Amino acid sequence: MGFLSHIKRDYYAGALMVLIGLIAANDGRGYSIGTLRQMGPGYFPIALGIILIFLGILIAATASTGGEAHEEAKALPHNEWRGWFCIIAGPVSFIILGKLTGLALATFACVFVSSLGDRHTTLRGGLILATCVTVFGVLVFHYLLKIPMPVFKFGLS
Amino acid sequence: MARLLVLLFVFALSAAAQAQNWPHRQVHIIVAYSAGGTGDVVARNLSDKLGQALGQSVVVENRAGASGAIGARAVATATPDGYTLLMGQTAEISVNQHWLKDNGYDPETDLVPIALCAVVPLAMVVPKTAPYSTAAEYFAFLKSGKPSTFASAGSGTPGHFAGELLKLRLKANMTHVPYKGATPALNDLVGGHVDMYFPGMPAVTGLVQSNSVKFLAVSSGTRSPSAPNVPTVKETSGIDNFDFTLWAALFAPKGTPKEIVARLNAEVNKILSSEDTKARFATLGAEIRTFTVEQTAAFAKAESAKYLQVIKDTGAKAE
Amino acid sequence: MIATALQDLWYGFGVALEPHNLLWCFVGILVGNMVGVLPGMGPLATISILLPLTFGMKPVAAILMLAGVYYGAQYGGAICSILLNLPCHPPHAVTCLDGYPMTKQGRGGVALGITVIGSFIGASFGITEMIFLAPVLVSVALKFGPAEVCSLMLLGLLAGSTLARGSPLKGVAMTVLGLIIGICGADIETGTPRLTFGILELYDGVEIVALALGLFGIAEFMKSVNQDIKIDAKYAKVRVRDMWPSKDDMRVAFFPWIRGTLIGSMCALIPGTGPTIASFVSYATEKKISRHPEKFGRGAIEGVACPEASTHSSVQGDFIPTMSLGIPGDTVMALLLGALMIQGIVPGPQLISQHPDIFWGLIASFWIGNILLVILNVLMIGLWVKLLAVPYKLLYPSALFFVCIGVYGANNDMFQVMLTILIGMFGYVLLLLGFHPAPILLGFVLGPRFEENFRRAMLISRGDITVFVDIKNHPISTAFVGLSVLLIAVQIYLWIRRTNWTALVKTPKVPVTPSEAEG
Repeated sequence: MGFLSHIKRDYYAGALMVLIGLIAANDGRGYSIGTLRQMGPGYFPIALGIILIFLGILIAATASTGGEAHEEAKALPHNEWRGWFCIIAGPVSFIILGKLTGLALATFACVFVSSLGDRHTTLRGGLILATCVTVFGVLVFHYLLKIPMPVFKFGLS
Repeated sequence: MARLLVLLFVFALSAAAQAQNWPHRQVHIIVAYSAGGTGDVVARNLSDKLGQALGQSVVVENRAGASGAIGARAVATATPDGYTLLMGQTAEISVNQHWLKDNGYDPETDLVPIALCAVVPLAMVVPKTAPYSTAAEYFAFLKSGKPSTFASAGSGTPGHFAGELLKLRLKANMTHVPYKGATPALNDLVGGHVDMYFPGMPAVTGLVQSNSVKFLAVSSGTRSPSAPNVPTVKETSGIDNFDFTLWAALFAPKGTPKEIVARLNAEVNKILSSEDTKARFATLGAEIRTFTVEQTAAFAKAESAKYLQVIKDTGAKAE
Repeated sequence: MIATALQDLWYGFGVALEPHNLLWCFVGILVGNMVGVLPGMGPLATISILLPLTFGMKPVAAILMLAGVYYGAQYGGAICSILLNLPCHPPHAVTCLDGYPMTKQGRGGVALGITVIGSFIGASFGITEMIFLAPVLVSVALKFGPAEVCSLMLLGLLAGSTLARGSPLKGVAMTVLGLIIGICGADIETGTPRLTFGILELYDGVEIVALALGLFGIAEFMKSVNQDIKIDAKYAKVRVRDMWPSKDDMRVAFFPWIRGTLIGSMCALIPGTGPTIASFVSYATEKKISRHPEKFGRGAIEGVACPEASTHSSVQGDFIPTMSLGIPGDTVMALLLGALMIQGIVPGPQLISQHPDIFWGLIASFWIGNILLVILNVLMIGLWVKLLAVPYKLLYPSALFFVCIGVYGANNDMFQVMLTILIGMFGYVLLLLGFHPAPILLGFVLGPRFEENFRRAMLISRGDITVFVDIKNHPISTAFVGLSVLLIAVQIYLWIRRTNWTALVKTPKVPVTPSEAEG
C-alpha cells in the first residue's frame, strides 16, 4: 500500500472530514438559522458541519503509527483497478439497460460485467453465471414478486 | 444473443402499432406516495375492476417522494400512450407548483385530467382532555388569543393550510407544528402534546368512535355524508372560503389520445357508480363525484387557484 | 383479566387454525421469509404488491397473510448479514458486525442458531405483551411527546457513537457524518431542501436501503474482490446437529436475548421508533455494559443475540399501538391498516371488541407463524451454510444483481440504484482511510428524529429549553437526560483513569493475529 502509509492515511481521513464539514456548513449558511423557539433549517447543518471540521482536525492531529492504525492497515487491499471498475460498471449497466431494454438484459449485463472483475473468471464462466442468474432473477422478481419492470422492452417509454 | 435481437426487433415493430388497439398490454397507475395512503387505497380499489373492464391488467406502482413531485414528474414526462397514468392528489396537482421551488413539472400543461375518483374531507380533532367540546367553543378560545398549537402532516399539506387560514382569520395565537406524515401527528394529538390537528377523516373514524379524540368539525365546504351531524368549519366560524379536502383524480400525460381519455373516464365513472365501490369508499370516508373530463379539469383548476390564494393570504411559504 | 385474555386467546386459536386461515398464514410467512433473504426490497414493497390479492379474501385471512410477510421477513433478514456481511434489511445491518466475524471463524451456523432462538424469544415476548398488557403499554406510549423522543434519541446517539471497532475519534466522526447525511432532504418544518444539490429525488432524503447496501454491500465487494478470503469451508459439510449452539453459547447469549427483547419492546411502543432503531440501540447498550467490549466486532455471540432478539420483539410490539389504538407504528403497519380499511373494517380502539376474530385470530397466528418459522429456519440453516461453499467469484456478481434489483424494487426508482453505487464508492474510500461505516447508519437513523423532535419540542414549549429536564411535566425526558449525563461522566472518568494507568504501567500492545485484523 504505497500511496497510503498509516500516518498519511490519517491526514487524508482528517482532510476528508474537514471537507465534508465545510460542505455541510456552507450549505447550511444558505438557510436561516432562526431562534431557539423557531429554529431555522440552517441550525443543524451548520452546527454539525463545524463539529465535523473540528473532529477532522483532531483526527489529523493525532495521526500515529500506533497499534490501531497498524492493525487496520493490514486489512487494506492492493490496488485492484480491474475489480473496482467491474464492480461499479456492473450496476451501472443494470441502470442503463434496465431503462432501455428491460429486466432480462439488464440482469445479464450486470452479472456478466461484474463477474469479469475476478481475475479467475473466464469469459465462458461469466456467460454461464449471467445466464443462470438472469433466468432465476426474471422468474423470481418478475413472475413471483411482480416488480413492475418489463422483461423486454425497447426504448425509454 | 441473436434470438434476443430478433425479439427486440419484434417489440419495436409492435410499439408502432399500439395506438390503434389500446390497451394491448399492462396499464400502470402511478401513485406518488408510499403504499397505504388514501390515493393508494383508491387506486388499488379501482385497478382491479378497471383491469377487468379493459381486458388488460392494471398495475398500481408507488413512486414516493418530494410531496408527490417525483411520481407526478415521472408521469408528466412519460410517453402519452395511455399506458402510464397518475393517481394525482391535492399536493402534486394543486399545491406543489406554488410551494416547491423546483417542481420539475407543471400540472396544468404537462398533465391532462381523466376523472375525479374520491374526495376525502379533513376532520378538525382535538385531544379528549381539551377544555372545549364544540367547534364554537374552540373558535372562541382561539379568538381569545391564548397560545396554542396545531399539528400537520407536513408543511404544504391541506391540513397545514387549513390551520393557517384559521389562524389568520380568527387572529389566533397558534403555532404550526409540522410532522412527517399523519401517523406521528395523530399520535401526539391523542397524547395531548399538540392542541389541534386536521387529519383525513378515515384516519380518525375509529378514534372518534371510541372517544379518544373530540371531532369538532369537518373542513369541507359542505357537511360530510358519513358524519352528517358534525358541522363544517365554514358554517361555525363564518370563514366563507374555508374548504379543504384531500382528493384523488386520475391523470394522463399531455398528448394522450382523446379517445383513450374518454374511454377511461367512462370506465372509471362506471366503476365508481357500482354499489360495492360506493360501499367500500364510504368506509374510507371518501365521497364519490362522477365528473366528466371537463368537470374534473375545472375542479383541479379551481383547487389550484384556491391554494395559491391561501398561500398568498396567510404568507405561509417554503423557503 | 388474565382468565378472559386466555379464553379470548383460545378462541383466537380456533380462528387461526381454520384450514383456510392457516394456509394463508403459511403463504405469508413463506413469502416473507424469502423476501427477507433477498436484499433491498423489504416487507413494505412486498405487502403492497400482495395487497390486491387480498381484495377477494376474507378479512381475517388477508390480515394474517400480510402480517405473516412482515414478521416472516425478519427471520430471513439476518442470514445474509451473518454469512455474507451483506445487510439485506436495515434492522439487521448491525448483526453484520459480529455475525460475519463468527462466520469467518467457522461459526456461521452457530450465529444463525443464536439468531433463530433469539428471534423466537423476542417475538414471544412481544406477543405476550400484546395479549396481556396492550392497554397499559398504549397509555405509556402516549406519554412520549417530542421532548421525550428527543431525549431518548440523544441517549441513543451518545451510547452508540463507539459502536464499531477502531479509533473512537473516527467512530464519533462517522456518527456525525451519519447525522449530516440524515439532514439531506426537505426540512420538515419549512420544506426547504437541504444538502440536496438541486436533485428532486433527494427531497425525501437518502433511502436507508441505498445507504446500507452501498456502505456494506458494494464497498465490501470492492474491498474483497480478488482477495481470496478464506472462509473455513469445511464447516459447510457438517451436519445441522453440530452447528447448533452449544450450552456455553446459550449461556453467553441468554441475558443479551432478554435485554434485547426488553429494548425492542420499548422501541416498538414509541411512535416511529421501529426495529432498526431497536437493533442499533440494543447493540450499543450490550457493548456498553459488557465486561469485554473489546470482543465486540470480533465475533461476540452477544453482538448477534441482542440485536436480533430486539428486532423481533420490536416487530411484534409494533402491532400493539397499531391494533389497539388504530395508529400505525410505521409505514408497513399503515399499509396493514389500509388493507383492513379496504375490507370495510375501521381500525381503532374499538377493533378488539367489534372484530375479536381479527384481533385474537391475528395473535394466535403470531404463535403459529413464529413456531413454523423457527422449524423452517432451523431446517434451513444447513442449506444456508452451504452458501459459503460457493466461490466468491460466483457469489459477488449475483449479489450485486440482487442489490440492484432490490434497491430498485423498494421504490421502483433507478435513481436509488445510482445512489447506492455512489455511496458504495464513497464507503470504500472511507474503508481505505480507516473508518468503520457502522456508526454512519446509527447517526443516520437517530439523527433526523433527534433534530425533528428537538425543534418540535421548542415550538411547543415556545423556546423554553428547560422542558427536557422539567421533572414535573416531563419526568421521562428528565430521566433520559440524566442517563445521558451519567454516560458522559462515566466515559470521562474511564478515560482519565485509563490514561493515568497506561502512563504508569506501559502495557504492551496486544498482538493482533491476521485473521482478526479484518474489519
